[in-house]
Amino acid sequence: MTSERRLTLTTPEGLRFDLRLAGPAQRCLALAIDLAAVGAAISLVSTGVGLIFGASFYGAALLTLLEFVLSVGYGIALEWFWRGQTLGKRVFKLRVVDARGLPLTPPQVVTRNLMRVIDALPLLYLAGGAAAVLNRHFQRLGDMLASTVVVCEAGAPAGDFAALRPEKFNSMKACTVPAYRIRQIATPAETRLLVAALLRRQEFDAPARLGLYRELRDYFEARVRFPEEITAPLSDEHYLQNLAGILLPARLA
Amino acid sequence: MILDLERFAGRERRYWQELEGLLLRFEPGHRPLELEEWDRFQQLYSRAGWALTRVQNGASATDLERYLTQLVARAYGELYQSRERMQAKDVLRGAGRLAVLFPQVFRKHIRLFALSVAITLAGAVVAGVAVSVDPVAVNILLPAGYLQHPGKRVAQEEHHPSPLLNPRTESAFAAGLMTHNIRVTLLVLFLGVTLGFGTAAMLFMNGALLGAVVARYGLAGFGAFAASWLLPHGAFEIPAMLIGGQGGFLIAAGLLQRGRESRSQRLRALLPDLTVIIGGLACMLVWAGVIEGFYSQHHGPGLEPYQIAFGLSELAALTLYFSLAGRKGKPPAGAAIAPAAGVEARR
Repeated sequence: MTSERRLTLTTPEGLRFDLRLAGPAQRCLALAIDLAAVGAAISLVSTGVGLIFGASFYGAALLTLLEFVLSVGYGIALEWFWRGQTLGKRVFKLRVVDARGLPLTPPQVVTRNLMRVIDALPLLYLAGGAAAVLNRHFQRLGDMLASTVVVCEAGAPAGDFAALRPEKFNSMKACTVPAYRIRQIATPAETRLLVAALLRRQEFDAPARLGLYRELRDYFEARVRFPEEITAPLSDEHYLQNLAGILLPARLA
Repeated sequence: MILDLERFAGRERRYWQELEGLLLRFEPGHRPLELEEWDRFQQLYSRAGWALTRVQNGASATDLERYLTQLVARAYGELYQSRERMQAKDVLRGAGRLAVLFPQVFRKHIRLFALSVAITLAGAVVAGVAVSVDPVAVNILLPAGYLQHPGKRVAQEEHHPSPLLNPRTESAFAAGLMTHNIRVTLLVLFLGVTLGFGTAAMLFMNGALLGAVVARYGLAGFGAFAASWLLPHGAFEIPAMLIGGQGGFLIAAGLLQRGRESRSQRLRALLPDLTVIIGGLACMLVWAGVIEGFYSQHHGPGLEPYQIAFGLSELAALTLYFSLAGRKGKPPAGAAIAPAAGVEARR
C-alpha cells in the first residue's frame, strides 16, 4: 500500500523525469525528529524564561507566546530558509517541493504548516496520516491544499562510484561484444543489486559475502558469457567489480 | 542506442560539476547569480537535461540517472521559479503591505464574508430564540463557565472584583487568549477543506454561543453589562472569526468550483489571498487578546458606558479600515478565483 511511488514531471523543454516521493513512514520519522526538536527548544526557552522571571505571571505569559511561536513558526521558518527542509527532513534527506517540481513559495510554506491544525485531528495526525496513505502522491491534507509533495533526495552521489572500482585495469572491458551486451540487457534493478552488494561489502561477514558474490556471479554469467580465459582467474568479487565498471561510468568519481 | 558511459560521463562531468556549483549559489549565505551567470545556468541546465535523456534511453546506469535527475530537477526548479532573498527590511515591508492587502482581499471575497455573517447570525438567532422560549436551554447551549446567574455575576464583579485582576495575571490571561483564539480561528478557516461544512458548523456554533449569552443577559436585564463585557474585545474577535469563515469558504470554493483549470491550479491561485487573510487575522486576534485580557474583564458601575463606547469606536474604525484602506492600490492578482455564485448556491 505504501510502496515506492514517483511523481513524473515534464518540463517545458520536453524533459521527463521522476521524483521519488517520501512515504508516510519516512515522513513520520522526520516528524518525530521535528517534534523532538520543538520540544527541546521549548524546554530550553522555558528554562531561560524561568531563570529570568521566576514563577511569575509575566513569565507564564511570555512562555505561552514563545511556545506558540515556536510550535507554529518552526516548520514555516525552516522550510523557508532551508528550501523545503526541516531538521527531520534533513536527517532523512526529504524535501518539500511544489507539486510541479518547483521551489516552495511563501504562501505554500505558510499554508501547509498551518494546516497541521486539521491534519493533527482528532489526535496523533490521524487525519493527515490517513490522507497521506490514501493519496497517490502521499500528500497529507496540508500538502493537498498547498499543492506540495515531499520528495526523497537520498541517492548515490557521483563520488560513490569510486568505491566500486578499486582496480585500475578492467580486463573484461576489453571484451567489447559481451560488455556492450551486458549494458544493453542489464535492468536498473540488476544494476542496483550489483552496486548495493559491492557497496555494502563491509556489512556482510565473510561466509555470507562469499556466498552472495558467488550467486551473483553465477547469475550474471548466465546472462552474458565473457571469455573463459579472462574471467577464470578472477575472484567472484573481482568479477563483480569489473562488471560494475562496465555498467557504471568510471570517471565520475 | 547504446551509450559508452565511461566516455560520456568523462566528457560531461565538468558541466555537471559547474551546474552543481551554480546551484549551490541558491543556498542561504551564498552570493546570488549575476545576469550572465543566469545565461550560463540555463545552458548547463539544458546540457544536463540532454545528458539525462541520453542516459535514460541509452544506458542502464541507475545511480547516474538518479544523480542527473536530482541535478536537473533542482536546476529546473530554480530556473522556473527563482525566489528573492528575504532580508529583515523585507519583513517590515511585508507587514506594511499586509495592512493594505488585507482589506483588499477582504473586499474581493466580500460575498463569502456575507455567507459567514449569515451563518453566524442564524446560529445566534436560533440560540437566542431557544433561550427566550425555554431558559433551561442555556444548559445545553453554554459551557459550564457561563452558567452562573447573570445577576449574581454582575453583583460579584462590580462590587467584589477578583483579586486576580491585576496586570501580572492579566498578561498571562491575554497571552493564553491570543494563542487560543488564533488556533480556533485557524481551525475555522482550514475546515474549509471539508467543502466548507466544517467551517459552517463552527460558525453556527460560535453564533449560537454568542446568541445564548446575549439573550440570557438581555432577558435578565443586564444587556448593558454584557455589551460592556463583550464589545471591547468582541469588536475584533468576532469579525476575525467571520473573516476566518470567509477564508474557509474561499478554500471550499476552490475545491468545488468547476472550470478549465485543475483543482490544484485553483487552490494554488488561492494561496496568496489565504496567506494575507491569515496574517491579518493574527494581528486582529493579538489586539483582541490584549483588550480581553487587560480591559474587558474589569467591571464597575461607572465603567460600562466607556467600555461600550470603546467597543463601538473599535467597530467603527474596523469598518472604515475594511471599507477604505487600499482603495487606491491595485487589488492582489494572486487569487484568480472569484467567489463563484454557483458555489455558494450549491451550499
